[in-house]
Amino acid sequence: MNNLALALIPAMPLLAAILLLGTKHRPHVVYAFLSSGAVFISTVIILFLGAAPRSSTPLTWLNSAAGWQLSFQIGLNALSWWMSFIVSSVALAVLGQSYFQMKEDPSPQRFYVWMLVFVASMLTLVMAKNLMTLFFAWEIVGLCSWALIGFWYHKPEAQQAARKAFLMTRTADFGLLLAIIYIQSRLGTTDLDTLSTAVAGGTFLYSETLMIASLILLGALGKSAQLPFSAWLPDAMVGPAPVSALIHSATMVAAGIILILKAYPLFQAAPPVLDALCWLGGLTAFFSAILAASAYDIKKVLAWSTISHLGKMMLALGLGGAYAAGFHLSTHAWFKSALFLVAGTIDHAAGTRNLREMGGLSSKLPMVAWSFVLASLALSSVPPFSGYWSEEAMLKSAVTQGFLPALAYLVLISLSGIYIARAAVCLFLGNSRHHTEQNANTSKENAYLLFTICLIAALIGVFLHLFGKHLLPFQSNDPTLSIGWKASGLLASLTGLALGAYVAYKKGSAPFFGPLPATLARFVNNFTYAHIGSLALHSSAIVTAIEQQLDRVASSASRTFLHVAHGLNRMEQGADRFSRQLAGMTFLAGRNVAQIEVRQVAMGVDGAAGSLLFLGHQLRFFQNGKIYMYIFGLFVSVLSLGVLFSVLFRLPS
Amino acid sequence: MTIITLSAYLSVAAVVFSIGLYAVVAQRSAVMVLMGVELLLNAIGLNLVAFWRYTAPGDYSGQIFLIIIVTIGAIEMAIGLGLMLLLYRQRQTVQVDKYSELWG
Repeated sequence: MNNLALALIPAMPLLAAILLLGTKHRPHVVYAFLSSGAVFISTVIILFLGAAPRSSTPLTWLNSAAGWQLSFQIGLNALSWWMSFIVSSVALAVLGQSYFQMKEDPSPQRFYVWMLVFVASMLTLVMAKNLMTLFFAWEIVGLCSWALIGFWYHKPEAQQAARKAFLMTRTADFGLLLAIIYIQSRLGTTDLDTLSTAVAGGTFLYSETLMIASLILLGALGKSAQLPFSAWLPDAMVGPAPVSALIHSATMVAAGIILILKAYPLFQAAPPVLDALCWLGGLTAFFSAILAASAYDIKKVLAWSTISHLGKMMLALGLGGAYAAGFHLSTHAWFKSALFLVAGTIDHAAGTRNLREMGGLSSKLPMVAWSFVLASLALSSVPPFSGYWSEEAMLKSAVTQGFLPALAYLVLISLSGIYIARAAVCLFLGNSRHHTEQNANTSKENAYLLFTICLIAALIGVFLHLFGKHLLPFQSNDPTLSIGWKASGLLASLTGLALGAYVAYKKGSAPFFGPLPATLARFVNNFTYAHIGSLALHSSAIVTAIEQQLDRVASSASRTFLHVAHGLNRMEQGADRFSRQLAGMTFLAGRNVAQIEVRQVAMGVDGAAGSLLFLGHQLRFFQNGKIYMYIFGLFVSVLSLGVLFSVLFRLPS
Repeated sequence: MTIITLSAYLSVAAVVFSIGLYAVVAQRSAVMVLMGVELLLNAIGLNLVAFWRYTAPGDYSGQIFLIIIVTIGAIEMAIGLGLMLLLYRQRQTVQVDKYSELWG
């Protein structure tokens, strides 16, 4: 029963995906309903099971005599229960709303199948009890991300972005794989509980702990798009908006954070890695916030914002605030996917994603505008909305570590305010700048749904803060913030919002920080993609050489087959000639027989038929329709019969 | 007076029969055809009575036969005239040559 319930959680979306694979050209509602229904069932099961620790029986893959084994195991504990609930609830909201956005798409089946496979593998990742299962699910998640970023594959930039995302995360996953191999070889199993007890028990040397932790960090960096692996996420915005909402804001990019949370005892035993985490996270957050304040594509703004918030989470993790990071992960998942869904709806309604071409949408899409405003307030940590509570938690953990991290957080909060206010003002206020949005509208159900999603996103922070302290496994031992810090936090967010709004209102959608972000972006891009890109180029030369060898083998094989085929062809031609001769003779014989038939048989038969015809002509004389002829005929026949009978049956006289 | 043999009766009957046959076959009017049929019947009756008289006079079956023939002849005449009347009403003619639907 335990196994069944646990297995059903990721299996429900997978079953729905298989079911959808067998259908084609059904009305779109069917796909949306089936997928949302499957994820809904998963959510309900998660809620019912509760956070009590439980695990499925391991599915052993390899069992070596040397004492180690590879197995798959999923289970629920406090952290994975909460994370899987967040994943499935966000997935439910996104799948429900994507009905409105993917309505006119020509291949809804492919979309929903990949989304469902993604949800299934993400749930497996979150519920993984050992690193093997996690890695398996990690890669499948990467695959689904590739398929969904490149969903509109006829666009070359979509193909390229999908490949870039997959390759970049795959390169970073190399670190994770090395860590898994090392742990497996040292402990004989990759079970996470065993790992934490081993770390606590001192099985690993300090250097080993450092190495494993930094390798895992590498894997997490790739998936969460931190420096130096940031460049794939903004490019991944060519995919549909629900994809960005689900994958690139709430779940997959959070997988890195989830991994670090799962292996947190390991990280706690390696403080230098935590420092590295702080620096990387902080720098990424800072840079990407600046870039977000200058991007023109609304989805790119949100993408950089995602990277920035993930950087903040990494910073919190590095400062020891695992509770804060988990809290912020949950709230961020909701409000970021809500923002992406709104962005997708605006894209549909206005026909463009460019902030320079939009404006004045608040009059045409009032409910959508309010939804965006709600979610943005949540993002920029305005009380009483979600972001405030999670940022407050992060600020708390920063304050305990010193003044500088807390200041960094304040700066980051105001930066969030700046870029999101800029986006909101450019979208909704002012005059329409482009004629494409003259008929911008969206259906009422869509607007209500978006508003509901944004409302949930905005209020989930309060809910968590008041009731959810025991839901997250890590305890927040930090003392309450002094009133000074609280006030500065509030001030930072309000200042950021006001600044961003004011500048956007005055200067339009110009980048907030002027030309600085462009140079920064170039730096980030060169630092990351160029190196990886040249690696890819060199590897492709080797691949080409191998391919040439294979080509040669293949061509010689095909030449042999060609000779054999020629020989067979010649034999066939000889047989063909013989059969043709035979056919000619038969034809000649047939012709002679036909002639005989025509001359003798047919004419004889014709003659017989002709005589019958003549007889018929003669007999027609007796059928002239005159009564006397019939009576005469009657009399003659009776007479002749009588004579005949009297002659034949003469009585003896 | 010479004894009138059977064959005399039979020949008279034969003659009357032939005249009746000729009337049926060659007459153009339908009423004349019916008269010919009457002649035929009478000739046959004559034949029958002659055979009765000269072979088994004590047996009265010949007489009965003749009475039946005459009765049937009368009935047949009534029906035949009725048919002629109807035909005349339909075709406005009693010429049997005109009743030629069976032609061909």
